[in-house]
Amino acid sequence: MLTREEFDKLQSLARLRLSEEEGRLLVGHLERILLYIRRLETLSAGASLPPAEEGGARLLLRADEPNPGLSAEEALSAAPDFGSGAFRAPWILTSEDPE
Amino acid sequence: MTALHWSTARQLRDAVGAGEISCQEIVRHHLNRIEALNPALNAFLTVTPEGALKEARRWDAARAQGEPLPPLAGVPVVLKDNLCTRGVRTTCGSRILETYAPPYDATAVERLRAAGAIILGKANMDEFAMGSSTENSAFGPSKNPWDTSRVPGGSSGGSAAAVAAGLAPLALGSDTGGSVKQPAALCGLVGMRPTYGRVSRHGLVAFASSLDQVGPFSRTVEDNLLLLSTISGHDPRDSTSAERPALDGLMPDDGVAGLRVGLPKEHFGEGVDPEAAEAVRLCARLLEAAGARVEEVSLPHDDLAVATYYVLADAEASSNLARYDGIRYGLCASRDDLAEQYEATRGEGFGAEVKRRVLLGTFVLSSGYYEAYYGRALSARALCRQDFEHAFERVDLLLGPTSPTPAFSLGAKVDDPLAMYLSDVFTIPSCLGGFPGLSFPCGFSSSGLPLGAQLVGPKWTEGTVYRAALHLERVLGLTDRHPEAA
Repeated sequence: MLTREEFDKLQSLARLRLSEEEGRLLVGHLERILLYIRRLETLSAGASLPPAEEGGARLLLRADEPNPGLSAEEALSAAPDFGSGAFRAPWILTSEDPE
Repeated sequence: MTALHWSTARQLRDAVGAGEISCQEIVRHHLNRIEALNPALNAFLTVTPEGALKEARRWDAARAQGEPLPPLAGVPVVLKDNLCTRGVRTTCGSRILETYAPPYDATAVERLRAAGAIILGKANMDEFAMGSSTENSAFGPSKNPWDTSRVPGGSSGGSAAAVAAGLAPLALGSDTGGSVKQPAALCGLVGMRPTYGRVSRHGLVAFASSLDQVGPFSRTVEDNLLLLSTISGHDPRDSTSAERPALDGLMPDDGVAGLRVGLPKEHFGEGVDPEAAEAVRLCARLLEAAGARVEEVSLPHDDLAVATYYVLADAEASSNLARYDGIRYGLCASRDDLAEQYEATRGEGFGAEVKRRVLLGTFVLSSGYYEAYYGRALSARALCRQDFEHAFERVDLLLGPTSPTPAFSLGAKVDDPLAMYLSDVFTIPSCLGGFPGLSFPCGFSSSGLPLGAQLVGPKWTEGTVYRAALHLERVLGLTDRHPEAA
């Protein structure tokens, strides 16, 4: 059901790197689960489906007002790498990149 | 006289208030039990003796000075390890958060501290609350105190095992598709999943945000209400928290006469352990004998609920767990390239079940599959919710088995994720609609394992659910039965 290409694409989208063995095992599991989930296809035969949001989630947003939150020091306290009041990550731009 | 570790939270609170026992005595007794029993049960991932004794001294001093004590002063409690605790590591059962110590307390934790409850530590769980047995914890499975060769259920299995073994009278778990109710059933406890929005999710590490709720475990119905009333109520820091006051902690004790109770016929069919089904039918007869009216009802889309849940919950999980990238907190597999660092960190830090679900969630949200899976599952969720709403036009509560079987053996389902998912076949449907549901002990199997029954009500009717459960608890008389191993 899932081609090798599709599975590789999926790993890339999910930002997950799996070993060959892990990948083989998970593909098998995913295919079985997707087969089970196909029972949702029976819904297509229904004349009309209820709108998903009916009585469900409402858009609840609080007023956009500043409130006290974590200090920068607290927010950084659990970071694997930080400095100068910021999280530190590998470079994504280099001097060779066009401006 | 009841042994201290089998005392209820109410008994402990009253004894502290009356000056019959000190908070330090209570805490030391429970810490000693944890030291003796936890190596065999693996219920705790972190024990916090210094913090617990410090709090105990604080309330003992307050009492000595004649100050009024808050409602849970001196009562020990255990927290599932996905509830943030300031300065105390919160692992979510995952290697990726193995050393993470949050800079703040979850709202539920804040409210417990303010009420005087004493936190003994953090409980084991399936990684990121994904599982039904606690076998998906990166730190090894918890064991069921009734039979340590069996699972305690999951994902809040550590919380349940701790309360069942008398390591604490109260615990908090979280429930996305049955993670409080199912372990409560398998460990012989009372476990409540409140109405969605009843308890703040602020500081509960997110798995599936449209489904996650914090819920209490206890050995009695009264204690369960005591704990839920303490942590419930509006919280502006969670936009899905309902604008309602805290639940009234006064136990509704006006019997069940006139109550209309429905038995969903889909929950008594093939695949249900006959002893589990019969124990629930006995509850129905006991309710009838007390003046309730019992009738069969139907939930026509019940067979779609598990598939619906796994599409929606995993879709939300794939998005929520994107934050674990090795930059802001948790494990980091350092690389020169950012994308490589993300992939390596997540590949090393997540266990197999989390990877499976993140991949499935990514798949159902991906271009070309979104409508076929995610869109359809949203419609199926609405149909499942409507089934309950139609049933609640005829009855006040639904009663059925919590789990199709009693506790299963460790390892029995670890290689078959689908079989594991189907452990939650009876708890998932009401979660999809956000309805409150409570599991309570309703009997024992012939091999001595606890059996659980589930009561589900319309939204915001936890009081009615507790009322029916209290009646059954009294007539069944099972609260003095404890696991021998403990």
